[in-house]
Amino acid sequence: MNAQLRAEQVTVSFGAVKALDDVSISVSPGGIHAVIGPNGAGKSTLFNVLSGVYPVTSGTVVFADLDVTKSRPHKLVRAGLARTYQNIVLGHVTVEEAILLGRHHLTRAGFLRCALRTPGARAEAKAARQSVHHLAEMLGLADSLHRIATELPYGDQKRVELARALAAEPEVLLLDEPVAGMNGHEKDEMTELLATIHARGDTTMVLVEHDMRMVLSLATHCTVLDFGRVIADGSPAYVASHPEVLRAYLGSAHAPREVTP
Amino acid sequence: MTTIDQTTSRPTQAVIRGVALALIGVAVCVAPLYLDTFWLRTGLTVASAAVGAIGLTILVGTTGQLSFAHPFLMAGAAVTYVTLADNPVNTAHLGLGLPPAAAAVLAIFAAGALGLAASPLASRLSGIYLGIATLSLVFIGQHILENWTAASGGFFGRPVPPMSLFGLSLADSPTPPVLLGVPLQREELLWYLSAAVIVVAWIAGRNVVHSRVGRSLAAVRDSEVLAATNGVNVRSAKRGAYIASSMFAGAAGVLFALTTGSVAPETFNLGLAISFLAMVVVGGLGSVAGACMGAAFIAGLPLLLQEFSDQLPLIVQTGEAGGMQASTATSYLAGALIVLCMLFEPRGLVGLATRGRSLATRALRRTRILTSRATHN
Ligand SMILES: Nc1ncnc2c1ncn2[C@@H]1O[C@H](COP(=O)(O)OP(=O)(O)OP(=O)(O)O)[C@@H](O)[C@H]1O
Ligand SMILES: [Mg+2]
Repeated sequence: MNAQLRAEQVTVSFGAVKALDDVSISVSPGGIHAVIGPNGAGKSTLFNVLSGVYPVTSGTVVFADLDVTKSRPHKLVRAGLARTYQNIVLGHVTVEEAILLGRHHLTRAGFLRCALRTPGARAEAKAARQSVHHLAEMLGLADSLHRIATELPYGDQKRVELARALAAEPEVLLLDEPVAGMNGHEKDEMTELLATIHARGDTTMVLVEHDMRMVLSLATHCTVLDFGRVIADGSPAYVASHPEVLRAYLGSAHAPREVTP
Repeated sequence: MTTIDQTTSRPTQAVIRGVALALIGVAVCVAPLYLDTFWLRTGLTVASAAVGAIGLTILVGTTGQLSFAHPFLMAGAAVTYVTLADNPVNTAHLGLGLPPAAAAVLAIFAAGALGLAASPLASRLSGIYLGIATLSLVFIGQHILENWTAASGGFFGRPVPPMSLFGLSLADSPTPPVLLGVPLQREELLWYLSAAVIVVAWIAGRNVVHSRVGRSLAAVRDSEVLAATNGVNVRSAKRGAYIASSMFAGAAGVLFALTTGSVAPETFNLGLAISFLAMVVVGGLGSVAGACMGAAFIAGLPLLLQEFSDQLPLIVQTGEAGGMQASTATSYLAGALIVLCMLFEPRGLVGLATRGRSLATRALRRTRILTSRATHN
């Protein structure tokens, strides 16, 4: 069964700013857990904590029996965690290479075997390439495989990031604003894609999203952050009608509908 | 009008590549039979620089770790080789009398070990700070070697025992092996050795860059967070890049020692460190072919300018007045080239070559279209 991801009483301070203040969140396996909140609420910080990128000031984070706060991020990946970024991070590589990076932890060849191109290393590389091509096909990237990733249109770059995360075959997938900056049509496509992937039943998703329509249509559970604190936690319908949530969004001049950063 | 293939098709490309490689192979094999000593020495110098530059481009270009440590590693390997291979009976210095081939392999591993020892620097420092830390290794290395005269020969250096492979000593001999009527002396034999080493270094370097490991190194260069959250153990990736790069430097150091015939600590100085960086920048960071082109340019040019100084304006022989020395002229040219690369073609010589090739294929295609139009009209 899927690995557990859980944070308890996590506080993260940047100087005087408490980006997260006593936040607890428990991601139940198999669902789509949305994390919403106004700009600067601490959603990305939470993701950085969950994926082992940021250290916590206090609190505990556990993923699949690993103490996240003491594990280096690559260990979490091996245990089944993958993520995408709010600000796309692709590097100067082709789309194929970018996605292949996701398979890093599923392949083994080291310096010597790569330098010698041993039959084992070659077979492994071929299999990785095939699965990348398969993913690219599914995400509509098959024609761009040999282009430089950062030269693609914005929406395609977002899909490359998703493909890279999926290539890692994660049990838990963290998606930081997967449709931000996309047009309506692209958003619908992406929503459908995520639903399809989730329906295959082996990936738990945690999703930061401003688009409330998407959250309501996809999420099975929803946590709302405001000023680094959890102000509501429950089903999407419950959360959407929660008075604190409405106040947080109205107070910050952002309705929880269409906010693009 | 019939359809014209728009791009040169893949099989054609493969054939062109194969033919080109075969021609280069033949040229490299027969070259020492025709070239005089000057050109052979130039070739040997370039070859050793190219092997080192391939290693450096993996570290600096692919992994993004600025390093000046190459001369330090080359010196380590060169002195290790000489010490291990020298006959303890005949030498005034430290010598263990190992078979030269074994000594060379061990020297390469010694350089790898030095790289491993230096690699923690990269997990603590980055960018220019890392560069300066590696630079200090060059000075430390020189200092140690200048004082440890038993191994290094001190200021005047020590002679390098010749390589010997399968019972054939790669040295001048009264009864040299003969190929097509040409006696193969030291330079000719070293030429073949260098060619073999360069082929191995090239293939290994390219394989690494285009592999799972190469992608993880590029990820470390682009963003350590990106690499780590994609399952790359950043620390061990950097360590591996250091060790691999250092082993290339080690091979370069041994070749360099064999070519020059003597090692002196003074040779492995700051200037050499900068030359190596110039090679990988001018060639195109992260490109194995570029590293070789850069090496040919930066290591070969001063020798050529020196040799032909009487026919060139502005260049004079060492010690003469009224002009520029060859090495100074090369520094100026390299400096200018680096600036031009940064401004106009960050991919360096390799980028220029790619541009040239695409211009050529486009021109070719255009003429083909024109001629086919002409015939169809
Ligand atoms: N590395 C950092 N250093 C300093 N402050 C930070 C850092 N990362 C986040 N912060 C601060 O923490 C707070 C929360 O930021 P975070 O990026 O987590 O918000 P968010 O909910 O993802 O917002 P958005 O919707 O704009 O993406 C902000 O005040 C931000 O300035
Ligand atoms: Mg954010």
